[in-house]
Amino acid sequence: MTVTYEAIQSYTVTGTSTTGLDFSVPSTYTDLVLVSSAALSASGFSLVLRVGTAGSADTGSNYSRTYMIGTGSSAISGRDANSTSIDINGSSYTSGTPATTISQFMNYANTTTNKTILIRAGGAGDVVEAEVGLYRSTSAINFIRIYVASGYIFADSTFSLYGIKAE
Amino acid sequence: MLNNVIGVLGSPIPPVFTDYESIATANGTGSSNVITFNSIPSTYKHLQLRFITRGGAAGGYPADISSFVLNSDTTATNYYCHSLFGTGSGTPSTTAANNNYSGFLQMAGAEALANTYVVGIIDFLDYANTNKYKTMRNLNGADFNGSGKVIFSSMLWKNTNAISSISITADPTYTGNYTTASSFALYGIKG
Repeated sequence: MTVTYEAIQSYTVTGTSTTGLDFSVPSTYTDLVLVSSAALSASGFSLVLRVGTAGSADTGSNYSRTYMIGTGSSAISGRDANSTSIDINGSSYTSGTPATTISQFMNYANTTTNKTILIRAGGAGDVVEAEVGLYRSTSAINFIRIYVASGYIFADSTFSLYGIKAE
Repeated sequence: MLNNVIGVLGSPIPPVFTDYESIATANGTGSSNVITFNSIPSTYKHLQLRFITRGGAAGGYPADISSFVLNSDTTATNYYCHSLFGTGSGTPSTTAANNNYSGFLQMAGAEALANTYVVGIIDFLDYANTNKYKTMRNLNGADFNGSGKVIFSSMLWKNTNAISSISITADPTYTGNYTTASSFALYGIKG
């Protein structure tokens, strides 16, 4: 029987110098799920997502997103268009108190459609979020980078990539 | 992740570990606006439906759903839904679709970018339990680089029967037939 939900790669951060992590992705799954439990050193910055189809991250203005967040005192919906990455709202800036994200890359290897990513994220003391991101390329994603634009990712933060295979 | 051994030690077939199993996949054909899963086994704890979808109707809504029916139950008063959705500005909105299976599955819509699909995940929690009504959780959305919607909703089917079939019908006027790149994948989760 085929294993349907499979661990591809996992990282646990050590030290104080990690600013991002890269995942090379095989084309053999239907969907990908990236799960993170991470805290960041720089307040005001969030985790950022980029993908690529040629073995490295696409840095072009090929990303966009629609999101809704709850801050604890208000609810907000927002949008970014023609961006160079996808921000994930919901961060924690306290070592040992991580925020969590689950990013679902739906039909990531499809060569007909642009790539849509469903994201749920949240950090205590920050925001809770539901988000849909778009990467405008009909090529198969074979690379994922998750990183922070300033500061570093605290030690003991974890990032795990899973593949889901439909039959 | 917990795994169960379903092979037998000493058997010529090596043991396989899996608690998350693919049950069936239904793909769009370009000539039908209906997706159906029948004969869903009751042997799992939960179900998950993962989809990517778009209709072929020009200028319409790529994923406007006119009907989401469980076990062929067309009793409208058995279906309830509450949704929270963000459209990219202002305050997220909320909507309720009660007593009907027409708005039961709230979907992102508005065709605004070619080759761009609505994606979503619906969790059917404890779907085979015959002592309770069935609660489902839906997260779906689409972004079209300047427009789009993300939706989070809770759905209730007021029926204690185990879910054995799911039928999703796209609006024939606004969505048309599912494109051939549309795909609905049903998974079973053991508990």
